[in-house]
Amino acid sequence: MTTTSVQVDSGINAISTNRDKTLVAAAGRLVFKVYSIEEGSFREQQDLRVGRINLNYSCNDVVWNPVKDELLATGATNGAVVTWNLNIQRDIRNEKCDMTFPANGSSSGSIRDIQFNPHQLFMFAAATDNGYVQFWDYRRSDRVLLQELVHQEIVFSLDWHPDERQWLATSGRDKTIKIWHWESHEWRLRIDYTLYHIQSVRKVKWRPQRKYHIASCSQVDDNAVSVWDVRRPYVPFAVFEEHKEAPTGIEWYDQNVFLTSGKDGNIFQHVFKDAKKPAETSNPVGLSMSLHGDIFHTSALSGKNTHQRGSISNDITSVKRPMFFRRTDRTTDSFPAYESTLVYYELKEDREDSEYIPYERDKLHIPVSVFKWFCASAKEYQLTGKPFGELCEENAKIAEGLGRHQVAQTWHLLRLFFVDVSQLMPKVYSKQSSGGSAEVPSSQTSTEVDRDSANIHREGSMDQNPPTEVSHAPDSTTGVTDEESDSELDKNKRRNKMLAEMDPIENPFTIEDEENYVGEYNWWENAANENWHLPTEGFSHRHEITDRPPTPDTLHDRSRPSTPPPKPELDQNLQASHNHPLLASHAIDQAITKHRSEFNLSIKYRPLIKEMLAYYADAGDVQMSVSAYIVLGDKIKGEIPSETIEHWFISYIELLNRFKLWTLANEVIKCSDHPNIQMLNQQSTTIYTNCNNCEKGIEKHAWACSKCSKLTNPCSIW
Amino acid sequence: MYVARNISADHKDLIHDVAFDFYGRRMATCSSDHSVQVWDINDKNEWHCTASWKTHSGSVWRVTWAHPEFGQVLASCSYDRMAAIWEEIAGSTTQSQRRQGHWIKRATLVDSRTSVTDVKFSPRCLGLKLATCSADGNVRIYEAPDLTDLTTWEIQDQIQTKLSCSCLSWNPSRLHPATIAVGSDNTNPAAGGKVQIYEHSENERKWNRTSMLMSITEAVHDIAYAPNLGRSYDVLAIATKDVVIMRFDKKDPAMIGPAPGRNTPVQLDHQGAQVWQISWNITGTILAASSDDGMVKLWKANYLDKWKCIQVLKGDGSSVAPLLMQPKEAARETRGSSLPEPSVDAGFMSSSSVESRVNLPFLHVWI
Repeated sequence: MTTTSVQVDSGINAISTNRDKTLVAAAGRLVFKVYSIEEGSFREQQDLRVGRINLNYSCNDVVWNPVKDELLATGATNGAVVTWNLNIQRDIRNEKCDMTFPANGSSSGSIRDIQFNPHQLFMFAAATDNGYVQFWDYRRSDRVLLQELVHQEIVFSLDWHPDERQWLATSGRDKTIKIWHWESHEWRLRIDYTLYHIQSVRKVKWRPQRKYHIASCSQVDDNAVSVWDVRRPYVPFAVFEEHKEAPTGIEWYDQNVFLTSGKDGNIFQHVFKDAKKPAETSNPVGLSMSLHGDIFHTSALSGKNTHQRGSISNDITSVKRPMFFRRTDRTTDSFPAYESTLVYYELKEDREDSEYIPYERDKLHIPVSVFKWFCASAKEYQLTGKPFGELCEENAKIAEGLGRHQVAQTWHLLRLFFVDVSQLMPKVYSKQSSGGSAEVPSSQTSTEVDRDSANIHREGSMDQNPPTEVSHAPDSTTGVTDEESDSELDKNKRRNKMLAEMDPIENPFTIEDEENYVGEYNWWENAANENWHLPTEGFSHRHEITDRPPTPDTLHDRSRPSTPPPKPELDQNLQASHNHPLLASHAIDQAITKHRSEFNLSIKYRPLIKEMLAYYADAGDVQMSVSAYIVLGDKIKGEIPSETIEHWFISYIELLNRFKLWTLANEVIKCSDHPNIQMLNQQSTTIYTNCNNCEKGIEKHAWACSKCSKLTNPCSIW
Repeated sequence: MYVARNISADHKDLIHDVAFDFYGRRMATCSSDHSVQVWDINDKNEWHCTASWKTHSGSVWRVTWAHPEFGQVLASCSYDRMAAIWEEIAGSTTQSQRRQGHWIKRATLVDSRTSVTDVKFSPRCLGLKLATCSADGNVRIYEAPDLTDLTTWEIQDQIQTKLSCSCLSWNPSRLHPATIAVGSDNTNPAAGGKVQIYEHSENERKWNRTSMLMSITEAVHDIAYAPNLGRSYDVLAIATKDVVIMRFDKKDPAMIGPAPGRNTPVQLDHQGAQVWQISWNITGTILAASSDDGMVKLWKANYLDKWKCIQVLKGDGSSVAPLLMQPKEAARETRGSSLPEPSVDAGFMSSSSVESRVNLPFLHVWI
C-alpha cells in the first residue's frame, strides 16, 4: 500500500466506501463519481452526474448502503435526499418520508450529522447547529432520549467508537474534539477527553482497531488530516499533508490506510508509514542563559519514567488522573513522553555571602560569573582624575583582586610602557654621571620589554601553535593549573625575571601601598648627588599635568592630529636640553626626560596596544578595551578607527545598561571623545509620572490625574 | 557552582522554549499545550509564574522578548501558522483576567501557510522589526512603523529559502547591514547546505543570500549569533547533529583585529546526542547546548581557540555532573542517577584526575 491519489474534476464534499471497501463514491457540488480501489490506484467506474441536472443532485453528503452494494444515498444542499441504484443509474428516490424526528425546543437548529450507534440497533445520535447532541430511538419519533450540550457552537460531526460501546466523539466549530462517555444506565454524557484542534473540526472518524486513535480534518484554512491519540490533547499523533485545500471526508480502509477527499478535488489514499509525526520532530528541550549566567533548561521526561508507565494496569476506567499514566496501549503506536521538566540552574558564587559584589581591596575574591566581575570592575575601575600610572596601578589591583590576572598584567604593562620606563631613564643618567655608558642599558631594557610584550601578545591572541613550553610547564604552587594559566605563569616568570634584570633596586610590581608609590622617585634622589634636585617648581607641575589623561573636554569638534605633537614649550625644552651644556650633562629636567621617552615609546608601542585593545574586544571583554582606551587617552588617540571606537563604546554602554549600571554608563559616555557617543547623552529622556493619589500613569496633563481628578503635587523629589 | 532547582510548570504538554528577558529577571516558557507562561523572580530569588494564557491553537514553538525599550513585549509562533505579538500593560486586573496577567494580544501575523517555526526580534539598532520563518521555507520580515502602536505590523520582505526553515538568528553586530542566518531541518543531505545567510541591501532594498554553508548537511535545529560586544568578527553557533561554531571575519579593512584565517568551523562533540537548542552567555564567550539526552553542556574556548566542555548539567536537575567524564562513564551516570541531590559542587574537590584538574579553572575565569 502506498500513498496514492486521483484527481476528480472539482471539489468533493464527501466520500463513502461500500461494505467491502472496494468501491468509493465521491460526491460534490459538481461531481458524483464512483471509483474502484485497486492495488496502488483508483479507477473510475461510473459517473453518476449525467442527464438532467438540478439542485437535488448537488451533493453535500454521500453514504453507501451498508448491506446492498448497489444502493447509495446523497444529501443535497437544498435538503433533498436522493437514493441511487448503481445498476440502473438513476435515482430511485423514495418520495415519502417515513418518519420525522422533530428537533424541538431550545435545541432546535439544523442537524449537521447523524450516526447510528453500531452497538445499539435502534439508536442514533444527531449533531445540531447550536451545540447539542441528541439521542433518538429509531422507533420513537415523539421524543428525544437524551439531549446534551457538547460544544459552544455548531457541532459539525460525530462518530461512535467502533469497539468501545460507550464512546462518542463530537467535533465542533469551537476547535475541539470531545470524547464522551455515554453512561446508558444514568442517561447522561460524561466527558473523557478533549482534544484541541488547530481549526474548527469538520469531520471526525475513529481509527479501526486502535482504541485511542481518531482522525480529524478542519473545516477551513488547514489542509492537513490529523490522527490523534485522545490521551494527548494538544499534539496530533500523525499528520497527513497531501491535500492542497481543506479536506472534507475521511473513510478508513483498514487501520493503516484511509481515504480522504478534499475541496481541491482529490481523493487520497493515505498510508500510515508516510505520515508525519509532529511529536517526533518537535523540539523536546529548551534552554536559555541569562545575563547573570543562570540557566533555565527544560527537557522531555525520559528514561526512568518508562517503566513506571508500563507498570500501570491496562484498565483505563479504574485509573483516573493523571492522564499521563493512562498511556497503556497494546499497540506499538505510542508517543514519546510528553511531559517536561523545568530546571533552574542558579550560578552561585563560591562564597556564600556574595549577594552583592563585595569588592575588597587586598582580598582575593574570584567571582564566577561575568556579572560579578563585570559589575565590580565597572564600579571600581578608575578612568580619570589621577596620573596615568596611578590609574593603571589601581586598575591592575582591582583586576588582581577579582582573579583576572591577565587583565591585571595588561594594566601593569600599560603603565610600564608609558610611565615606568621613563622612570628608568634617570637611572641611566645617573650611571652616565658616574662615567658609565648611558645608551646600552636603556636600549636593552626597551628591547626586553618589547620582546616580552610581543610574546605575551602572541600567546594572548591565541596562536594556532601552542608554545612548546606550555605542555612541559612545571606544575606551579598557585593552584591555577589549566593551560591558560600555565602560560600566564610562564609569562609571570618571564616578566618577573625581566623586571629583576631591568630594575634591581625596586620592582614596580611589588609596590604595596600608595605611600610607596608616591615616593617612587626618592631612590634616585637619595642615590645621586645634590644636583638632581628639580630646578624649578613649574617643571614638576607640568609633569603632573602632562601625565594625566585628558579630562573629558566638551569641544569635540576641535580636530586633533593623529599623533599628539609635542607641546611647543616642550620642543623648546628639548632643544634647550640639546643646546644647553648644563642641561645636557647633569641637571636634566625630569619632565623633559619623561616626555621624550614617552614620546618615543608611544610610537613604538602603539600598534601593540592597538592590537591589545582589539584582542580584548574579540575575547568578549569590551570593558577592558574601553577602560584602557579612556585611561590611555591621548596616548593612543587616532590610532584606532573611529568606527571601531564607537562600536566598543556602544557595546560597553549597552552592557552597562543591561546590568542596570546607568550611572556608570553615563560616566563612560562623558569620558568618551567620540562625537556619536557624546550625542547619546544629549538625546531626550522621557520621565513617566504616576499620580501620587491613585498611582495611575499621568498621560496628558502633568498637573491633574484623569482618573481620580485630583491635582498632583506641585513639586516632587526623587 | 551551579545549584539546580526544579520548578513545576503547569504546562500540560512538552515545553519547547524558554527565554530570559533582557535583564534576566523575567522568563517566558511556551508549550505544546497552546499556552505561554511568564515567570518573574522575586527578591528571595524564587521564580513565580505570573501569567499563563492560551496564545495559539497549536503547539507554540518559540517565544521571544523584545528589547525593553519597546515595552514588555513578547512574540510567539506556533504550529497553527501564526505568530502573535503580546504586550503587558500596566493597570488593574479584573478577576477574569487574573490568569492572563496583563498580557494582551497586539497583533497576529497570519501570512504563513504552514507552521511558523521561529520568531525573533531584530537587534535594537535596527528598530522594532520581527523575523519569522516557516516550515514551507519562507522567511518574513515585519516592521512596526509606529513604535507606540504595536497593533500594526507591515510585512517588509519575504525571502524564499526553498528549504523548510526551523530556526533563524539576527546578526547582532551594529557594523553590519541587517543580516539573518536561517537554519533548515531538511534531512536530505543532497538538498545542499542547511544554513543560509541573508543580508539586506539598502540600495537594492532586498535581501540577498550572501552564503550557504555547504559544510552543514544535517538538519539544523537551532542557530545563534554570539552577542557582538565590540568584536571584529561574527561568531555563529549551529546546532545540528553536533554543535558547529563558525566565525566570519569582517571584510572591511578598516576593522582591526587578529589576522583572518582561523575561520574554520569548530565541531563540539555531543557523543551522538541530538542537540536541539543553544544559548550564548552575555559576552558570547560561553555556549550552552542542550541535547535530547537531557544534558546541558557549557563550552568555552581557551586561548588557543580550542573549545572545551567546562561543565555538564543534567537535564532532570538531579545533579550537576563533574567535568570530563569519559563517554561511557557519562552514559552510565545518566542512567544510574536516581537520587536527587539539590546541589553538587562542580567537582572541585571530588574529582582528582589530571584531566579535570586541567580543565576545571575555566569555570573560574568567566562564565
